[in-house]
Amino acid sequence: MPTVPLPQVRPSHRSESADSRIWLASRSVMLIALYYAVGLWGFVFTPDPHGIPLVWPATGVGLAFVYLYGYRLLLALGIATLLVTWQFTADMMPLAEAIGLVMATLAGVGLGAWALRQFGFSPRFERLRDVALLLVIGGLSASGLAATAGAWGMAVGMEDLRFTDTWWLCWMADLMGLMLVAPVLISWLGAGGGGRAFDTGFWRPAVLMGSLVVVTILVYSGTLDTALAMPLSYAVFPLVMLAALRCPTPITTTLMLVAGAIALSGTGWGLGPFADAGLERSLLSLNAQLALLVLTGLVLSALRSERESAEARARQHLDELSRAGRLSTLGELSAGLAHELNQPLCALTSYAHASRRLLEKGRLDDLRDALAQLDSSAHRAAETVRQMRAFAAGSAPEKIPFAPEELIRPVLDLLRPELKRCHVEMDIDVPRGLPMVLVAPVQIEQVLVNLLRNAMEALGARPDGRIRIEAQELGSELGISVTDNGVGIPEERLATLFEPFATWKSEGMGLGLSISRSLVEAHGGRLTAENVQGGGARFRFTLPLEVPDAGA
Amino acid sequence: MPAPRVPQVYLVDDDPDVRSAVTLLLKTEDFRVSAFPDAGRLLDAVDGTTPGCAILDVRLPDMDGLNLQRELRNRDIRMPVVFITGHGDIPMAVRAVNEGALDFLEKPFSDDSLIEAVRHALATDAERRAGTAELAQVEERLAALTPRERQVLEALLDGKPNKLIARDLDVSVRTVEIHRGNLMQKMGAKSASHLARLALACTDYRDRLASG
Repeated sequence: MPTVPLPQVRPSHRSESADSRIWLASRSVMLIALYYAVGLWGFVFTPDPHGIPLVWPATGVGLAFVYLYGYRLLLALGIATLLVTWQFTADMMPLAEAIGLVMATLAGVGLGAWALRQFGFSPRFERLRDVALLLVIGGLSASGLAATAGAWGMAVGMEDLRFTDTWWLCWMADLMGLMLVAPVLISWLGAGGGGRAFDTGFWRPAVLMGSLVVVTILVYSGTLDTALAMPLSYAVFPLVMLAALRCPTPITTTLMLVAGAIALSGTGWGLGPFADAGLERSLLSLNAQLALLVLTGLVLSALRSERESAEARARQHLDELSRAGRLSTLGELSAGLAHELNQPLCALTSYAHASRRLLEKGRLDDLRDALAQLDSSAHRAAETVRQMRAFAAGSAPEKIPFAPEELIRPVLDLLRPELKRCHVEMDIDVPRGLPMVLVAPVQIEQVLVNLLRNAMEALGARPDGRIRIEAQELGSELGISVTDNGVGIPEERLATLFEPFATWKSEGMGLGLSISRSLVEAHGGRLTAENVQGGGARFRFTLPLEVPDAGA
Repeated sequence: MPAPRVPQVYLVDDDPDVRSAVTLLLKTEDFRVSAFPDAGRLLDAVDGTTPGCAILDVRLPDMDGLNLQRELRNRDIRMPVVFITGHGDIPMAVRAVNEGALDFLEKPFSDDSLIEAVRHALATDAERRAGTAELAQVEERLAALTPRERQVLEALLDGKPNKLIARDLDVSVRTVEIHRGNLMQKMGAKSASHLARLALACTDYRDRLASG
């Protein structure tokens, strides 16, 4: 089960209580200021004397802050709500109703924040589930309660307003505001760690933002004819969709907020394609369009994240599987490798014994030579151990530029005992100075070990066994082939050769070639097999060459 | 290449490090050492008359140690063989010992056990060669016997008394005694039992006894 990053909650250690108070105060001030500002903005869209705003982002601000920073912010939210209510509706609403409105807002926001935490909502919007949670919980509790209280207050205060109509308007306004504002605040402030938002560089978000601002200002400034402005108002969709697919979520949510803010402001002032139908109707249709825009952006963004994390999981599984394959290969090679290690150890002890005898006889010059040779034997043993350890490495391998001949040498070292035992003649045609490839070396070494061991098995006990390794540059790729002069691959096996468990050998699980192909494909290459004329099999794979200036 | 007449240790191991380390170790004890990377080069360097012993790795690039031992035997090269083995080659080493190898040492080995094994092998070789030399001498002497003396020798080995031999050969007992005296002298035998031992050292007679 994927872990859900919890919103950052400050540790409240006693020693940090002063810091903690400052932190709480700063967040509270931020909340009050933002709440008041969007409230102010919301009253631009108050079409009639009843003072029902048609967009009300303030609840969204409250929900985001309380969800992110905890219930301690409810006090600040209460102050902000009171301030806004008193400022804008004091003349229309009795005090009792105003306090009721504040309490309902607090209850709605508190309940909403609790529900978001309870249901494991992730501030990264990485799953479709997060989008649904925000809309449902925001719509039911935060907007729902605030709208009910607002509508009730209005209905009590003004005789000519019907509760149901007012409720509907208040709820729409609240939810629309929440959809525009909450994702931005939550995705920017709640993602944690920062930095990640700028992974895709500066230019793509900047260009998207620039285009979006130009298009929306053009559409909503009233300079264009409605017949042109209306279809053009849909131009924000491809921009937001592109951002959702290619940029981090905070960029997408910001784009949507900016588009919404410009569109709403323009329409509020009676400009743009939606303004003709009168404020109430026009804002409702604009709200519908913006709601679709936000939904599109958030859903696409979540789908992209889901796909990315599925890919990451698949990569991780391949890494784990390939490590298991390497460990099992190492186990199969261990007898030979122990022998390989025993040789330098034998040399080491012999040098040591000889040194002692030379010392006893006072032959110091000979002793010096013996010790120097002892040293080099020790290094050789250490090198063998290092290669075994590198081959068993478990860390997620990183792709680095690597010289092809450096890929092949450790593989031959690792397999030397086996090759010797099978009396296979190796024919290596890997010219020096081939361009670098971008690979996780240990994984490509694993592919080579698999192919070489298969070739050795195909050769069996043939006295004239020969394996040829060739590497050559093929356009933008490097081609590596391993050819043996063994029995070849039975024709009926060729089709299923790379499928897992498709072994016809007595030992092994038949995963070697399947893992090898996956590893090569994870590098952006292909692994193929064919029979060669005159007997034997050839496996070829390609690897992308390193492009030195592959910048963003 | 003519094989040197001085006893040598012939070391065969494909690992240059092991070769030079073991060579150095043996040289500190003043053994003469020739080292070879594979079986082929050893076979080129020695023949049946080469004095010395061989230290063979059981895994060699061109043939395994067991086959090399057989090949040496086929070429009538009977120098004692000590096997050195890496990890996991013990069964092969045991088979080699069963097929006549003198000893085997597991790598890494102690200097004392190696030097002890080499001393033992060289001593065995010297003894064998001395034995071979004696045998050659006996065979030479046997060849110098006249047909009559040979008949008398064979009859003696059959345990017949002089009288019976005289009757079988249709000669006088006195003649038999003369032949017997001559052949004792030619063979350099001090007594009848010594004569029997000398004659039995030669395969011809051993086989004859076995079949008779």
